[in-house]
Amino acid sequence: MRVNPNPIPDLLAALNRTRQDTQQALLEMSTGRRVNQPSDDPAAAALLIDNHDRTTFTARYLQSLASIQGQFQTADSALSSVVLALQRALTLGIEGANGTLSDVDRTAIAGELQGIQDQLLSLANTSFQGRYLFAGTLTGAPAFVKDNTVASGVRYDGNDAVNTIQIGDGYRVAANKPGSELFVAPGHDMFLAMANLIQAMQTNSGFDPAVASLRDAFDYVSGQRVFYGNTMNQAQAQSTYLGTAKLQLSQQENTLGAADIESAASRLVNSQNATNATLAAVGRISQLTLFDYLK
Amino acid sequence: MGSGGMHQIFAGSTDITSSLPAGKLGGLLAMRDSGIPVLEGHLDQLAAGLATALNTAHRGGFDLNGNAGGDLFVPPPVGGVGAAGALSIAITDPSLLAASSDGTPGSNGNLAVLSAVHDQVVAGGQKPLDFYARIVFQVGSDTANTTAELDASQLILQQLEDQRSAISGVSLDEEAANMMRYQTAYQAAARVVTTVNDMLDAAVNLGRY
Repeated sequence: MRVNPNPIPDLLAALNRTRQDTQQALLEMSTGRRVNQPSDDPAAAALLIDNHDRTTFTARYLQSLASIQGQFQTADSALSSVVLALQRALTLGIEGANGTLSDVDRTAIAGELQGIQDQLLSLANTSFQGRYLFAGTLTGAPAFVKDNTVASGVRYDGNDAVNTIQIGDGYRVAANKPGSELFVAPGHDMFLAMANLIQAMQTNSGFDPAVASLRDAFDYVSGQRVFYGNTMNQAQAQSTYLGTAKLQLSQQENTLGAADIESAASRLVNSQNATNATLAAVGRISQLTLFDYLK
Repeated sequence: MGSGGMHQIFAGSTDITSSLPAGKLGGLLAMRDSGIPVLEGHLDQLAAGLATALNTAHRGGFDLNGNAGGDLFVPPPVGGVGAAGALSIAITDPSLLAASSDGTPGSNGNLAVLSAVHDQVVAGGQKPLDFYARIVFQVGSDTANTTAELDASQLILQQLEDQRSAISGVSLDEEAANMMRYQTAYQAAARVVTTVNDMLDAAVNLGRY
């Protein structure tokens, strides 16, 4: 059979192919990615979009968790101070109910109770990053203001609204508890209980119901701390879970798009060997013809 | 230069742009006139759908000042043509972001509505991300197919050229052998002429002796 007398174009095409293989292997090794453009693996490229979306959402949930954590810690420590203040007030109330005290002593206790009342007001107006934590969603202005027209002397200016924050797919938690539920819930109004105790102290009468209602307010506020504890526990658990999910997503991303370095390296060596061999072969093709022997 | 800033190809004064179905020029024209416009259309559809859905969600809320939310994105053109290129945020003041669902400054209720657009059907009966993933898959698959077809066509071309060269290529060995053959034949023919000449010579001089 007669063969193609000019093999050079074939050899050039072969060289071109091996050089392309070298380039692809080098790209995979340098980027660490098998899928550098959609055409490298269209199905994996489409799946990677979903993977990046879920990774982004996981990062956002973690961010939300971090941001409510600071807020919750501030709120919890404010509540803890409220509980301590109420405890002190309760002690003072029981002391004042002791019949042996003079009017002067009771007046002094009433003054101290008034100081505690002011401290409670300030704690109920705790703010975090410029937002009043216990005002519902009316966070732009203090939640509680002094108002002598109401029995307790303190008026609630917030609302009853609760924000929820998404911390997982379909998983939302309440991000605040309005002051109306914490401090001035009907039947458990701590400002009213305090006002009543101060009045009892000043008039030297009605100690027992005043102390009883203050004790009730104390128990109630103490109980409310559970909300913050629970939510912080949930946030902690969810943080751990999201961390695992993030890891899994990044593993999945690796499976989908990461380069197999061993395979890329061996392809790089193979294609370079092939290039060198082809080049050597081109150099060694005999240029002699029959003409060279005709003398 | 034709409509839309596109170049057309002329032979003399005749527009032959549409009569170029193959070759490098044909491929470039097909990509320019049908491939890329289809993809642009998909991107426009996605951008318009997303902007409209987010605008609707945004208008349902209230900004930091308690006013009803406006458009979050500049509304896409009617019909959606050019929506992807023109996509831009309509508000510059962060306090105009309608995060509140009831007008109170601390509410974040409308953010849930905005983020729910992620799972809404916005373009071609699909959620935004699914639609986008489809575009990427389409581009990747088209490119991969074209590359494979190109490789195959190049191999076929190479084989055909090999076959043609095997029949019609010039082999110097063959040419040298042919030259030797023709040279020998020429020498033989010349020898015949010499012999005939000698014979004639002898015949003409027969009577002289």
